[in-house]
Amino acid sequence: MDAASNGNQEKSNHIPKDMKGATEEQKTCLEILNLVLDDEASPEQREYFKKHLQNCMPYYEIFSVDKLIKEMVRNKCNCHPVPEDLVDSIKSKLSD
Amino acid sequence: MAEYKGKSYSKKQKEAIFDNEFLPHINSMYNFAYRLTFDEDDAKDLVQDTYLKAFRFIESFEQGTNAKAWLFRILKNSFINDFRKKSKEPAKVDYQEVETYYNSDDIDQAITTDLRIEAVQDMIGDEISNALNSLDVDFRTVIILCDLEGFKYDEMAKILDIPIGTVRSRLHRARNLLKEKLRSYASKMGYKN
Repeated sequence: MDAASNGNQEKSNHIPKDMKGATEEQKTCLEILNLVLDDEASPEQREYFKKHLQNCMPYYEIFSVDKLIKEMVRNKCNCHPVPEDLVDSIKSKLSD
Repeated sequence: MAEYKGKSYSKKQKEAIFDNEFLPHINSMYNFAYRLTFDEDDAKDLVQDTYLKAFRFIESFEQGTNAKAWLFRILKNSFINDFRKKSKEPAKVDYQEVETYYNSDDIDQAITTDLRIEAVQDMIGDEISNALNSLDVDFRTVIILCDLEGFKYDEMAKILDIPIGTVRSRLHRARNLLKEKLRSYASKMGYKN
């Protein structure tokens, strides 16, 4: 069957970044990566991550890049200081 | 918010809630407003409107619940309902339409490209910030709420009025688009994938 040779053979060394091209197992793994990244994983999912994904090179790479980008967003994208007069302006409007 | 019947606070209590629970979030609120509007005056107006509304409807805020999420929800709604109508921005972007577009096969092809950690490490803040700003507002919003402000999925679902499953898929999609943008910056910096 064509379907058998289509995609599954690449499972071990190629992980599509997008869910559409992924097998069910890969989808689950990518979902768990996101849950761990966002600190939303259950203890079981966290355990699965530690056992199966943390030491698997392709997943490790995806996780490392995602984690770094998340940290950079947090550290580099909070750079618009509040105008000094804003709080006073709000408070004066409240007392009107 | 809708199901909560409301409290009766004294004037003094209202002022205390406002000062102690609402105002401490003004930095995050302004940063969010700026990243939605890209204009200092508009961001100021949006934050001011949000705080005035928060005070007016303070009795529907239950003390002890998440004030920051409550304020972000008001700001997001103000942006969609009031601000976008007034601004030059053309028709309101339809979430569903955007998601359908980005879920199409065409865009998936482009997203499967790789991005190496060395390339990201060499980026200074500007690339990340510009890449975030270049995303469509709905995708930009989920990244800001999750990665910048640290909201949990269930809080984001309430702020955005969408199911948790949609939060997760939109976030996943947003991250892929962000990576795609960063990958194109990486190519310009001379990194080969």
